[in-house]
Amino acid sequence: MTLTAVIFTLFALLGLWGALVVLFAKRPVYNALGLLLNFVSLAAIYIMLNAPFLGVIQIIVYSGAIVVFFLFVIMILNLRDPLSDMDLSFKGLVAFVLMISLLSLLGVYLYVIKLPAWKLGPEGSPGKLGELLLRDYLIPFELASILLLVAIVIAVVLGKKGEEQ
Amino acid sequence: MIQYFLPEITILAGILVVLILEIVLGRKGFLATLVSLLFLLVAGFFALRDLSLISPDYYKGLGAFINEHQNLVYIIKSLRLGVVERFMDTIMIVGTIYFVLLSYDYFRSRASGDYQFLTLSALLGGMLLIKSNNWPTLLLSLEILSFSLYALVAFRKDLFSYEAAGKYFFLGALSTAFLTMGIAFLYLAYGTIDFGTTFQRIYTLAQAGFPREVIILSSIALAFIIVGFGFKLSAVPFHFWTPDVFEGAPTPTAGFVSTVSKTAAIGLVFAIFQGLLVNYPALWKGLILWLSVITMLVGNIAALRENSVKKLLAFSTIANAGYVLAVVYAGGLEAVKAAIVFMLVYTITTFGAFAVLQITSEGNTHIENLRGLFQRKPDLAFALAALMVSLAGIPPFAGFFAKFFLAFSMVQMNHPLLAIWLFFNGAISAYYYLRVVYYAFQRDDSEKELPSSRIPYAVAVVSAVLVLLMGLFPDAYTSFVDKVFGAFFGL
Repeated sequence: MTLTAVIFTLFALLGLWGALVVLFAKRPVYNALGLLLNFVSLAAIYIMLNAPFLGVIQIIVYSGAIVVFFLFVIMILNLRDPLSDMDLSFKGLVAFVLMISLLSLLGVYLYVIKLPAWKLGPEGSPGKLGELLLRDYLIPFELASILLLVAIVIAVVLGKKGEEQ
Repeated sequence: MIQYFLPEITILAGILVVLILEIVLGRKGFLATLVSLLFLLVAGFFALRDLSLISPDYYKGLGAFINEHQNLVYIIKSLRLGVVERFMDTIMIVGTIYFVLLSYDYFRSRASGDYQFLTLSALLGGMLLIKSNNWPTLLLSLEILSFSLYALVAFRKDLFSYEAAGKYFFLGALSTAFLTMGIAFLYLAYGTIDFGTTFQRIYTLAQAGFPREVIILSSIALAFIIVGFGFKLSAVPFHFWTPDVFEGAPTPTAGFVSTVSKTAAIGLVFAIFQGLLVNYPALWKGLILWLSVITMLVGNIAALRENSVKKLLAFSTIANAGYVLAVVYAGGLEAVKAAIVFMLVYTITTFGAFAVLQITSEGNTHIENLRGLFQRKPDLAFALAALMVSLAGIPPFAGFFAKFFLAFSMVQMNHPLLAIWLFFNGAISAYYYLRVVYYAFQRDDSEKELPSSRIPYAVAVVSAVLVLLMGLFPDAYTSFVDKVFGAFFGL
């Protein structure tokens, strides 16, 4: 096993652990921290995949901003009580088994087959990424700003109290 | 090059103007409505002008411009221009004009600029969605459309409205997640996120025979993508949200979801699956076929026992999505033309029906509530009857011709059984559409007053007259569609 494989396995397992904590931990704070663990290990994997900029952005935006926002919400709402036990009904169990088998099928397929060798995009340095975003994908880049504007207006509209109530 | 994108630019300008007016002048509902109507009319004018100017050489000017300005070539790479997209734009603009008129009456004193902002941004999202030429553009414009719709559904700000918006939001976010997953697998299979390159590679691979790994990867991808699109189209079995969302949403918004957002989804499915499926293993074409066949049947059967008129219209939306999906499967130029005519007629008819619903059933959409409509407002009852008969596809109304064109294009592409199935489903649907008419013409002895709302009244009557006229003179608009298509493809 090469060093890369060892590091990858380490972070993959850490990320998986984080995801499981998000799903199964009983206290909301632990859920949020599990999410943090997941995001950070994903960032490490991005960096290993030769996309350092994406990795840094992942840490700044997801771990830095979003998880902190979740923690604030948990703090302000004072969610201290543990969540009630998940009741696994028969339907839920069937869905769970189906999902696991679908995922493992996908995993086995992807492991067995040889991935097609297309020449993929340039490496993920900030310069190359900026060039892509501001030249090749200028329209989607501008659309993202419209999407953010729409989202801000929606937040204001729905957050405002209706006068009639 | 700006002259090729005038409708989109007009709508974008409208979004900003409405927002700035709201900020500077405070809440002026009437003014905002007027301004957004003005921008919609201008955009509609530009779209029609574009269509009437189209010739095989029309986009050559754009090509020459791009050759001169190589640095701008990327702008055109993200957006595709063509005659089908322009027709879909025009239909969506017509639907949005209906929506603005109806919602001004619905919200009255609560009308505001931010509502108009969301309306126009939904339209812009739809217009860009059908033109998107790579996956990032598609995802972002889809989200602009969907986000605006979630907010428009929640806009009444009561418990029902929030519940509907919540359901719509969670299922919509889930379907977008599926779509994104599918896109990731497609990227893995073909190594590009541009549609043009993807189609090229599919074509090249189809000549040489697909390698096994590409078949596996793209099958997984298409399964995910079909789940994502099936939700937006409300195709069975991804349709469960539709009746719930319609029931809780404000009446005009339900109309918007069932017409404008469906038109956008249909345009998108046409663009993607015509390219993706042309050279594809038959399995996936068969999947589209079965999706459409089941969607028609389930939508119509579920509507038979439905007692809420709004939910009934939701199931009718599902069934109609099935009809157009069948035409996507059949393929061919005639199919595209038929789908355009169908969506235009469907938009006018459905919004007319929602206008009647807005007058008759404020807060109570039960079918019993329609009783006595003929006694109180005979002209409205006749308008409702005309619209419902048109939806059922009975001549001489426009709905008949729209369905006839669909069936005709299917027969032309050698799918006669599909055409028979379409008319069989039309026969089932006649029962529940005519049931609505039956209730409207029943006597009712209670002392109930209908609210006097001029705008939906005028909208309903005008739509009914339009549907009748379009049914009597189908040549008037089909010849225009034929002419534009002929000019564009140089036939």
